[in-house]
Amino acid sequence: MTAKAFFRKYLWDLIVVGTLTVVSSGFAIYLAIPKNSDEHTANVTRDSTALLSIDLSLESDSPRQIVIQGVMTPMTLEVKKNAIRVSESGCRNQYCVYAGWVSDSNHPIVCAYNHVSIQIGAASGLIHMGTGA
Amino acid sequence: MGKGKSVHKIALMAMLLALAVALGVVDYYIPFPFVPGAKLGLANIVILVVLYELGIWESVLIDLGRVFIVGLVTGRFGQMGFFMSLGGAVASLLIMILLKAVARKMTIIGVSACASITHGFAQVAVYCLFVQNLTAFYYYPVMSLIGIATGILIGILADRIRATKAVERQKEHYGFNQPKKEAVGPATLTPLSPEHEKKEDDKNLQE
Repeated sequence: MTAKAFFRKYLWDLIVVGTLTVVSSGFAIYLAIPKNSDEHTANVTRDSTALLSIDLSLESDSPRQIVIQGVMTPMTLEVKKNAIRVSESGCRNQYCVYAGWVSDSNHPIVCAYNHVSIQIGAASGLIHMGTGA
Repeated sequence: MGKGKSVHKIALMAMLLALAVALGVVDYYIPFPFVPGAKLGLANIVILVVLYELGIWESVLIDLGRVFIVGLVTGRFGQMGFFMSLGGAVASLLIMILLKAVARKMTIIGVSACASITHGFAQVAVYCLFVQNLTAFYYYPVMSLIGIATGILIGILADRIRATKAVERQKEHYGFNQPKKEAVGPATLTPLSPEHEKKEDDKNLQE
């Protein structure tokens, strides 16, 4: 197939798929850029219920562990200064564990199996795990 | 459609459903590392071929049947994962049907890519509805990029399968998805007019 015939056959595919690729790439790049934010509170939610709000700026450099109960299995979180991660989870795919340390509001951790979401953002008014305040 | 063709179609659809279920189960056990919810969507090859070669209702039947049976086989039936799959399957099938009907200049490859993106979007939307939290939408741009790549791959495979002799043979023998031919009656002999008869006789004499 010549290039001309190829473009004639797949012109509309190229236009539609190309547009979608450009839009998706734009959003992906935007979300990949780390934002300088003063928000260092990790909000942990299970379904629509807020479980924890942890002020990460008050944490020490050495990680400490927190165990929470997901919908299906318990999950172990690790928190250190300005970062949080899921170190253990009973889910099959372990995507939440692969997400690693997160310190930016653009990179939430989601465990679909346990219905748990962890996102860094503004304080939600819950009990602060770091200070107990 | 005659009784023979009807029985053949039911058997063919049962085989295609079994194939879609097998591919769906294989797909379930192939994790796509680091991106939650991203899958190859191998079963979509069957759905695309059925949509283009057999028709809309056949593809709806096979797609929904696949989701329910894969849910039962993998033990996810009634759980959030099952509803995410169901939402993704319904949304992607709707987009495929719509694009096939409206965007006639798009090929099966473009339709597959769009369906794949829609599948991912619907899955994330169902998850967000379940947990009433929009956090998972942060994953969607990356998921959609992977969806475009896998959708193109699945579309190419479906296109190649449609061009195989096996599919051609099915179409030739059973006329699936073919325009109905006008009924042709038995051949009849029409008597020649006296002038034509005279001409024919002259020709024979000359010879």
